[in-house]
Amino acid sequence: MDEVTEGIRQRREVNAYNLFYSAVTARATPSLYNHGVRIPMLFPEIEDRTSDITAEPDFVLYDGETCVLAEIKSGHNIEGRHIKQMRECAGVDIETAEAALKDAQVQDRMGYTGTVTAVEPAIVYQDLDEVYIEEAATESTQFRDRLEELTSYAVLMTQDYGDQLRPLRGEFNKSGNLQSLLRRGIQLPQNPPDQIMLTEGMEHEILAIAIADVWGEKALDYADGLEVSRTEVRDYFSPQHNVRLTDLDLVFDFLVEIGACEQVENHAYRFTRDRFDAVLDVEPQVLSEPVEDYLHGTEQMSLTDDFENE
Amino acid sequence: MDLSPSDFEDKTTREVLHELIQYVVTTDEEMQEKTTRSGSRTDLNIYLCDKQGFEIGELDSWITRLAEEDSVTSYAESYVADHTFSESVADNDISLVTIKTPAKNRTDEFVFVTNDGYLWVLTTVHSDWRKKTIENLLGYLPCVERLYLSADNLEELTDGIQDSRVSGFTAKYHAPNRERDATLMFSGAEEDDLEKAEETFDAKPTRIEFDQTNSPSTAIQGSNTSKGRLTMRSVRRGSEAKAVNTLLGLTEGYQELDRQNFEVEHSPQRRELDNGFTIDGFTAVELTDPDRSSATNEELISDLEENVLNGNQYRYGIRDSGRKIRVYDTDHQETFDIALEPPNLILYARETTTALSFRSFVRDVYDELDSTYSLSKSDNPVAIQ
Repeated sequence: MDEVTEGIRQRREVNAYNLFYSAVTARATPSLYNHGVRIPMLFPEIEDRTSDITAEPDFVLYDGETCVLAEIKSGHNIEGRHIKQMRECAGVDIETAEAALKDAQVQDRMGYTGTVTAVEPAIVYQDLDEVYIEEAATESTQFRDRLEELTSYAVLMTQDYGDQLRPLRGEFNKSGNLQSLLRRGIQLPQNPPDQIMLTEGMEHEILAIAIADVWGEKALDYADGLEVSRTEVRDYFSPQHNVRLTDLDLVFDFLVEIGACEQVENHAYRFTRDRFDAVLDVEPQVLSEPVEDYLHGTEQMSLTDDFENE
Repeated sequence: MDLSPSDFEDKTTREVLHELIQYVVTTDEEMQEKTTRSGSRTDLNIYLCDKQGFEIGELDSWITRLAEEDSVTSYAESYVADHTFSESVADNDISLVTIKTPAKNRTDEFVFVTNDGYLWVLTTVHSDWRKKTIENLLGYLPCVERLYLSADNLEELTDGIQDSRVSGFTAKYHAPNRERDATLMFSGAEEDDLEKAEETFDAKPTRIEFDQTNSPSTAIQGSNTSKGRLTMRSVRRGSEAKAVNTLLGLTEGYQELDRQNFEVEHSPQRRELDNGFTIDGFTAVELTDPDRSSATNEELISDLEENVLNGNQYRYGIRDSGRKIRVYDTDHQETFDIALEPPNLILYARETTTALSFRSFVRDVYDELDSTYSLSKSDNPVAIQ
């Protein structure tokens, strides 16, 4: 069980999102919520109307003045891709941020005017610290260069379970309420709630868990069970996550196979109360073994298998 | 009791209490005798319940559901078969309920009062028969759940009664990995005896008796329990109004503390936006700081499996590689998560979670697993004001 399966890797990604989310809950100290900070949007696409750059941060934080665009990473390796992501976030100007907040109806929902005095891109790694950065920068020119470029776009932060969310490198653009809260650090809970069940890639395993969580549980409210079609599931996750229909087919094959739901017609499935035990089994199953392996076995995974299943 | 629905027509809650308190009014001499608190005698008991969907006049349809629904346990089924029930409505929010037990040729009476989301059941039936009749009924009705207070809240509430002192208590100690479970029953208590019990045995009160004076001497004797039951044992003639005020104050306080601990005002809700989505709402009920200082995730899971999650009420699955448990409460048709922060247990609300399943689970933890946890709730909106 010590092996890090694909499912466990995805779980870690999910957990990193939920850990960051918990900074705005009452279990954090201080809770950003008590200081007026809200999460108006998750996984938005923020389009600059004058250029064709789109920023896709994982989280937006907003306190009525400052808009933080946060990208969350479940590991501590700085990758080239991260620089590109933060360059896009750094390209979001005040007007673009205000337009995005307006679209998210912050005025109606939060009573904030929607004005922004500063946009602050931040990238949050897990369990990173000064010592590691210092050492890696001394040993590797590539790391040093990446670090320098990354922090020219974003504040580099770290977070960990039962530990702090705090900045490590880089400066905020302005000094406001939210910036100084983050600078001082937020103590996070050891085991945050599963509010978000998504990963960037929406791989088979997390998709199976997410479908079981949403429709498997919703079905408990209906004595006759609840039917859902493949396209309804696809729409639910879009446009933030473009889930392919073939992936959904595979995941539903899996869910039917373990008994979490039954197929009622082509691409339509029914969840019922009496199948809930199997719904509860979905996560432990996909964390122990990839969905494809469960369906086709580890041995005979080959191209021909894929063709036969098309 | 010998009541008729017309006794309660157009009556306020205060007037209903005043009416029923007559059953425990005593003379000065009887009061002296009653201070010994022995023998079988008449008490007025009030059960305080959270009601989600139960209304006065609907008892019959709920009983029918209990008798017919497949998912209902065989205990509930045979309970419904062994008794007959009738409800006479006196008013929009008051009815008289009788439960008959033909095999024993018994008829027991109860007054049902609803107000502000709560159901009160008042009765003078003695304890054995209360258990067999009304306590079972309240336990089987899926829409009704007796309120629950932690030991700390119970003390806080009872301490707040004016001109009163603690005159006795029941305190329990129960924790994993211990050789013995202890129950202390203390009558004729002096000041500080409750503190001593807590310090010496780590025992937490589940029932506190109080004597309340109406100058100069003891006029009201009652008790308060952690499981949503208040008792008036005796009220000296002339002190009825004070006793009613005490009851109203206790019920109000009880409901408020229960709400603070269990009410889910901010459950997580997903909402689509033009450019992204939000998940709003966060509620956690925290069981913290127990007697035992450490435990592993595995130990906590197996303790919960053996003591709380076993039985018919719960189905569950292990999540996050053994760090969380997703629980389905089949009695209330709700799910919630238990996040393990050993030795603490954090309960997180899911979209459908209400106070019903939180309260029921917490009560089971205190009763079956560990009586030494502290209880608190933290919650807030996340996306909106």
